[in-house]
Order: sequence, then structure tokens, then C-alpha cells
Amino acid sequence: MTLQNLDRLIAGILILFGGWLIVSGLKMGVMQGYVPGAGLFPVIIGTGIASLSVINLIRAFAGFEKLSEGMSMKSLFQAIVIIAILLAVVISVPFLGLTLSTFIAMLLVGIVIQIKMNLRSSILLLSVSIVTAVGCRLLFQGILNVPVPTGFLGF
Amino acid sequence: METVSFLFAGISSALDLTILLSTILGAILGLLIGALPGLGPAAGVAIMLPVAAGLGGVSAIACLGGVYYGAMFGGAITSILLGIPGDAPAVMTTLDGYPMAKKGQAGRALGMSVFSSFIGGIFGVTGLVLLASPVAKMALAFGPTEMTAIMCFALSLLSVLGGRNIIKGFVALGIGFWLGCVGLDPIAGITRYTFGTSHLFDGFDFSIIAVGLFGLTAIFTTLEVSVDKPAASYSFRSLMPRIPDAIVSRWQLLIGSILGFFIGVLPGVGGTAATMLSYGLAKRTSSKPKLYGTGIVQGVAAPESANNSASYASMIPLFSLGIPGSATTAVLMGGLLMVGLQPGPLLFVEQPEFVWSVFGSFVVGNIALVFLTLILTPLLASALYVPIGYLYPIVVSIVVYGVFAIDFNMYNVTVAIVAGVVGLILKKLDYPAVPLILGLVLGPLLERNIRRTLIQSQGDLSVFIERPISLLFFIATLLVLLLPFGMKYLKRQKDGR
Repeated sequence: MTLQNLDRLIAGILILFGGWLIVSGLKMGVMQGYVPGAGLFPVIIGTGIASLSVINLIRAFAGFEKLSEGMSMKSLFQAIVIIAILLAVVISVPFLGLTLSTFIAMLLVGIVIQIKMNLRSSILLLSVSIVTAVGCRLLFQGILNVPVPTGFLGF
Repeated sequence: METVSFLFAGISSALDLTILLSTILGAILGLLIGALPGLGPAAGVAIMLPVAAGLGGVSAIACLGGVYYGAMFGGAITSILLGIPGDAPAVMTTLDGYPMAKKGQAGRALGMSVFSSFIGGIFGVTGLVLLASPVAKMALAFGPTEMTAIMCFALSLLSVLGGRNIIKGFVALGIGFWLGCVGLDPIAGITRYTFGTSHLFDGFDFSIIAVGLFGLTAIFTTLEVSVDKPAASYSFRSLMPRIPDAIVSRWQLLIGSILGFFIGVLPGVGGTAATMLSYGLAKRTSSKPKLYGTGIVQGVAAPESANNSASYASMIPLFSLGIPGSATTAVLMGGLLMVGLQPGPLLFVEQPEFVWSVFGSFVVGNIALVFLTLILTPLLASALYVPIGYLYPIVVSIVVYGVFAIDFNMYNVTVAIVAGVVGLILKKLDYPAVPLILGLVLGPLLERNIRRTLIQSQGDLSVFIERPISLLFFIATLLVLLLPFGMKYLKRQKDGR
């Protein structure tokens, strides 16, 4: 999907989102006598988002919308993998603990971003990951008294 | 006189070892963040937010403030040595700083950048000290009607001037407003948009969204940044500011400091615009305008003094009105909320010691940065060559730990990741993130003030234009909204000729 098509798609989604806000706001109640209801603000926001997104959609189809920068396939792939690694950290923390999970995540993020992996860079990445993982644990648990979750290995 | 004694008391408490160390730590990290291309002050403050909040009270804000103005100092280093701006406000410094470095005057340019940053910083912090308290006193008399009008003005200014696409700016603002609606409605007592989950009962934590939207998005969008140019050579001795350079640049320093301050106060305009305007004005008022861009110290002095002056000026609306005018001050507001303080006029009444200690730390930090920048410039320049493959895993780890530390649960980390993904999409599609985050911060306040006003006036909307201050700000808002049309009309007229 090109960036232009994504722009059109997002504008379309935002029109629907604005409409949904208006409907949900009306259900909550806009005014109860002289007292503004919980739905007043959502109705105003929904109207604004929907109407402005209609303009955006028209502009996008008419070719008025000139998007400033794209993203190379390589960078997009790297970003997606980093997002997946971060989500994996969230899932793995109850089993591996925060220290081990972030340590593994750091290694993986480093591998994804590194252009050339050789013995020197691997050792350096491993060292950086160990020092940061230990440093973060000491800082957050030792100094800031954060109850850092532990895993099956006990740390 | 009272202000001066308060400030001295503030400086005295800012020299407390814990606060001093926090300020210096923040300043060093800010220098590093400012020097690294891609990570700007907003991302830096957002990444450091959960960590600094753990320091508590004045130390936390002193540290975050240090990151902010440290980044302003640091941004110039790469602009001068490599021709790569560390952050957006440092773009104008590249125009003369880099040619100076190519002429073998890198040390001289760096020295002038440090000196002008210091002068601009001192000018800005003086203005902050002198104006914040009177503005806060004035704001104490404001009711919900006036606050509604001021917020409408600030948000419209931000959305119109804050991005390339004004319509998308307002859409982003609307999304921010909606995020601010999530959770328990304090007036009606019902929950909105929680989708049945207890996590959303208190709404979205602003600081978590800020970390994702600025910190993680900065990582995702700067994966292509690489530094492979050789640094210009300079000696440590050459970094020392020179008196003849200061004398020859005195008017540019003054123009930059004054213009930077007044532009910095306005929400949404920010340091980048301040540097561009001050560089332009310095060039226009110069007797030798053609020399600008060829590598002269005046071309470094004007933008550098402007962006540092603007960074302090932007804190006036935050501290005195509780209205952040930029992404960085919005994140800084998150820091204040995390240490249990609500920025605004009441802060000066209820926590005067806190406010003056923070202002004192800004003065101390600005002076400390002169020495830190001079000492650390060689290190900061070499830090640029650290591949992001080593740097970003560290940032990712700090973000995960930091976000977890806010509420001790991994749910917040998921929210930050989602905010990062949304931030990436918005950035690529030219939806500015700043209105979104300010919509989230100010939306609940704006809604509460609108509803309170309507309850008091029994639903009569004319109350908004009956009060003089409110009327003034609504007229100003209208003018801001009409500004793009006026600009287009003028451009057409010009092109027609």
C-alpha cells in the first residue's frame, strides 16, 4: 500500500470515527436542561473530526495532499520487527522477568538495527545489553524502589 | 525586589547536592540528546520522564528542565562540526556554523554557540522569573470563561502554526481531545469510552502516551540516520568564547534573545521559528547581509541566543497558566503531574518554594551548561559515531523500565507501544503529534471549563463574549483561524502582480 492510499484510508477511518463519536455522544446526552451532558464534548469533537476528515479525503483524492517523507522498505521492516520485539517483552515478562526480557529484547533490537554483524560488534552488543540490563535493574529496583518483576530464574 | 529575594532563595535551594546533581545529570543527558540527530528535546524529556519522576519533587523537574535546555545547547554541536542539525531549532546554526568549521574555525563557532546560548538562556530565564509570577497572580482572577477563551486561543495558535497541514493539525487535536474524554466523567459521574476495561477507568496516563508518541516514534523514524562525515578539527583552547566575537555580535545576541523570548511565549510557534526569524532579522539589519551564510560568528549568535531564550519563555504559560505551548513543555507538564503538582496560578500560591527552587535550578543549570558544553564537546562529537545499533537498544530498555515504573504494570508498556505505532503513522501522513498530546492534556480542562461556564450561565452561550478578557481572546482566536486564509490571499495578490 502506498503512503497516498494509506492517507486516504486513514481519512476514511477518521470520518467513521467522527460519526461514531457523534452517535455515542448523543446517546450519553448533550444537554440535560441547562446542564451540559457527558456527550456534549464528544459530539463537538466528532463533528470536527468527521468534517475535517471529509476535506482531507477530498484533498487526498484530488492530489492536493503532498506528503513530506516516505519510509524505505528496510526501515519499515526494522520498525515492525522492533514493535514485535517490544510486544514480545510485554508477553514474556511474567515468565522471564523484566531484566531478562529487556536483555533479550536489546540483543534482538541491536541485531535488527545493526548493518554488519561480526565478532567484534556481537561482543560489543552483548556487553552493552548486559551492562544496560544490570544498570536498569540497579537503578529502578535499588535506587528508585520499583518492584521489578522477576521470572522463573529468580531475577 | 520580592522576586529577587525569592530567586536567590530558589538558587540557594537549587544548590542542594541532590538537586544540583539532578540538574547536572539532566543537562549532560540533554547535551547528548541534542547532539544526536533525530532525538530532539521532546523525545529526550519523554524518555527521561518516568526515570526523573522517581527522583521526586524539585529534583525531578530540575532534571527534566536540564534535559530540555541541555538539548538546546547540544543541538548546535553537530550543526557546526558536521553540518547535521541535532534538532530542528539548530537548523539555522548550520548555515554559518558549518561553513566556519570548513574554514578551520570550528572552535570559534562552537565558542560563540556556547556564549550565545548562555546569553539567550540568561535573558530567557530572567524573563521567566520576572513575568511568570505576575501572570500567575493575574490568572488567579480568571474564571472558567476566561480560561476557556485562553485555552481556545493557545490550541488554535498551536494547530494553525504547529504543522505543515492545518486541517490535519485540528484532526490531531480532536483525537487528543477524545483521548482526554476516556474514563470517568467527573461532572456526570459516568464512564466514557472505557470499553468495559478497568484500566481505562482513570483515562489514559498522559506521560505514557507522550513516551510512546515522542520517544518510541523518534526511534522508529530515525532508523535511517547515519553519520559518516569526518568531524572538523578544533582545539580545546579554541572553544573558549572570544571577547572580540562577543562585541562584534552584540546586536545579533540582543535581537536573538528578545525575539526568541517573545516568540517562545506564544504557544505552537517554538524555538525553530524563533531561530529563523532572528537569523532573518539579524541578516536584514546587518550592514553586510551578503556575508550571512558564508561562515560568520553573527550567523551563529542570532539563532543560538534565540532558541535558548525561547526555551525558557515557553515555560511561562506552563507554570503561570497551566497551559503548555509546545511538545516539550507538555511533557514537562507530565513531569509536574507525576510529582503530584498541578501547574497553574495556584502553584505559585500553594507551592512557592517549589516554583522558585525550580527557577533557581534553571539559572544554575544554564551556568553549569557553559562549562559542561566546553568540557564535553569532544565527547559529544565522538558520541555521534556510536552506531544506533548500540544506542537504541539502551533507549528501548530505559523506555520499557521507565513506563513500567509509572504504575508498576506492563499494560502501560503496551499503551506506549501502541502510541508509538500511532505516532509513526501520524508522522508519515503529516498529522502533527503536538496538537494531539496537547489535546489530551488540555481537553479535560477545556471541557470542564466549558461545562462549568454553561452551568453558571444556565446554558447561555453569550457569556463567552460578555466578559472583556474572554472576548479579547476569542477575537484573537478568530484572527488566528483566519490567518491562513489571509496569508493565502496576500500570496495570491503578490503572485498576481
